[in-house]
Amino acid sequence: MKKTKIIVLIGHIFLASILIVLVISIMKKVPNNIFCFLDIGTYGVPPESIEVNMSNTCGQSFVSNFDNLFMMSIFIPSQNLAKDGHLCFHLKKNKDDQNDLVTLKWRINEIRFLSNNFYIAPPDREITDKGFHFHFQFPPIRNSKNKEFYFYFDSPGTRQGEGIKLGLWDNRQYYEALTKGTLYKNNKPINGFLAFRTYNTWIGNPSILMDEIKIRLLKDRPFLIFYCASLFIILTGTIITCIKINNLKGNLTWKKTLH
Amino acid sequence: MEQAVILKLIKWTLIGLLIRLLIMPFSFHGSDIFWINYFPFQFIEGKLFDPYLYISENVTDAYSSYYLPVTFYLFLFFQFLFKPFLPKLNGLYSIFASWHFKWEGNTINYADILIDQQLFRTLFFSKIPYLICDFVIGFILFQILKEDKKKFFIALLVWVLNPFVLHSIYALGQLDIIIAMFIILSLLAVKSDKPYFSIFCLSLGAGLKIVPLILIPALLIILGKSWRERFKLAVFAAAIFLLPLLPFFLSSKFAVFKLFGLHEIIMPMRRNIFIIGYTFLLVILYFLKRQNLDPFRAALFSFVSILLFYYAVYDVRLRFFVWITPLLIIAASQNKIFWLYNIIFFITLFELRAAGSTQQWGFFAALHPEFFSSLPVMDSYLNLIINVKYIHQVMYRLFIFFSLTMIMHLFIDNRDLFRFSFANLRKR
Repeated sequence: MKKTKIIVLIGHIFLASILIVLVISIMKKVPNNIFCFLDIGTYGVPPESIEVNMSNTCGQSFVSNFDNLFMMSIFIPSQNLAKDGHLCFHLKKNKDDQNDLVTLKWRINEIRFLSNNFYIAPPDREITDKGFHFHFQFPPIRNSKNKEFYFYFDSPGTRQGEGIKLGLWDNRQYYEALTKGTLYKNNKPINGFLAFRTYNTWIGNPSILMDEIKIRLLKDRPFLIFYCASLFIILTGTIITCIKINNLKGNLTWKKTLH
Repeated sequence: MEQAVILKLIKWTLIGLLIRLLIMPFSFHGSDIFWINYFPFQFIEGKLFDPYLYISENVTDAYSSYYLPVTFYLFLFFQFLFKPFLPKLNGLYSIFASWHFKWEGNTINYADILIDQQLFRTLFFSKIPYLICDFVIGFILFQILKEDKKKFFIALLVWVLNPFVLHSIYALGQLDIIIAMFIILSLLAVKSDKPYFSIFCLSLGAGLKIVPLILIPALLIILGKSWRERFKLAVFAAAIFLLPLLPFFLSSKFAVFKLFGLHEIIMPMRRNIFIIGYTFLLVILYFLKRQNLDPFRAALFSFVSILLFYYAVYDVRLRFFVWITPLLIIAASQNKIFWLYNIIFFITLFELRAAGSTQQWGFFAALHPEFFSSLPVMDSYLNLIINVKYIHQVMYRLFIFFSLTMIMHLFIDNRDLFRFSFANLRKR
């Protein structure tokens, strides 16, 4: 008996130490903002691609379905990325807006699959031997819900054939939640859709959260009353049954003692 | 029955009901539950009579289809019952259809756009058929295990807290508990020596999703005492399975049969392995003893083995696994070591098949779409240490290994049922 207890104790200590080591090893890697969800999504390998270089820009319009747009991804088909040159991303309110909401720039040889991504899309759907989704973040755009945006990629200084290819779908049916969108090449609309995803975050505090949940619950008051009453009845029934079982046990123990 | 036993039974029933009610109105997954109920509702409204014809003419997506006709009839009945309590259902399904057919919404989209259409009560009422089947299964477990109260209470406790059912049925809103009910009902019929009712239940189960059809040949071998009787049972099974298809065949010709090609998405190699293994299992069943055979044990062995083999080599999803859970509980009640397999199946399958956000916190998006959909999942943390793809591969291999091991273990446990069993050899 003692031996078993010691083995169980050692097992617990072993498991607890593994857990502590794991927690310590990931603590620094966990981002400050842990909240992230996929809004517009696409999976799989798009069959076509378009090259972005000094003479070709490629853009796409879309409508964000939620607030706080803060991350996007673009599908990079398998290709030689060991090149000089840069890829630039521009996000605007619309195609004709002069100002960028977000501007990002990477060296092409820095573009690679982020294997330890915290904000994972369904991981089994990331096919990395035929290409990958390149994720990039920017400060959250508040009030982005139901607003149209336009983003485009350019690659100044790279000649034809030396740019970077981006994945392209020919049909909207490969997307989730892409309600509206047009693909542009050099600012002219063309058929197809860039293989992109958008991600949003949640910004708030517990009291706002509770208020918002309350508002949603109160949208159907008659049901809420019926539901709470049902829960109350079942809970009361459970408590009464537990009390009766305890009383019965007590009586049995008492009878045994008397016996 | 003793008063203490009845009270204990009531207590666990109420606890089970409470847990289920807490989940029912607030959770769903993607379009699943709305899709199940969409065509029956359209039928009641008089807008659309044949889902298969509509899909074949209007939906271009090759994998889009509706469930088999028994699902349609069943949910038609429940829609008819619950319609008076759901006055905004028309608006809800109009919005749902616009999103589903045009833009393929996800859980978070539906939680966001359907909240003004009595989303909570729609989810609640849509899951009541599941609750009924859940209680029927609990009752059947009681009927099967009532001779040993201790075994029954352990089985009941596991059933009440069954994570597969709570997750796939109440949280995600899938209908697989109805199939599980038909399978275990069929097993009860075997125990009660009612072969035609047993076949009837399995055929009806296959009328919801086609897979239970693979259990019927095993049952024919076990229940039929002669080839003539087996043939009669097979004709009866075919009639029960095909009859619900008839109205749709008359209406839309072969559109309803498009359903049978859906599993072509599975790799052909896996399909071939399954066919070979399945045939081998049926051949083994042919060597069951003809005299003094316990058909209940034989049926339980064959159902569990065939389904486990199907999951291991062909296709496993959490919702499909619900079909086997009542059978695994009965098997584990008979041999405690099988609880260990159940725990392994639980760990491997949940890590493998409940990895995405919409299968974890995300299914509570109805309460607050942005917050619940954005909570990090277990894999987010694991992915910081190791690519979760490798963890999933390990889990899948573990699942296959333990499924096959359990089949072997079951075979050894039930060796006395066979003509060539080791026990017989030893006796000789």
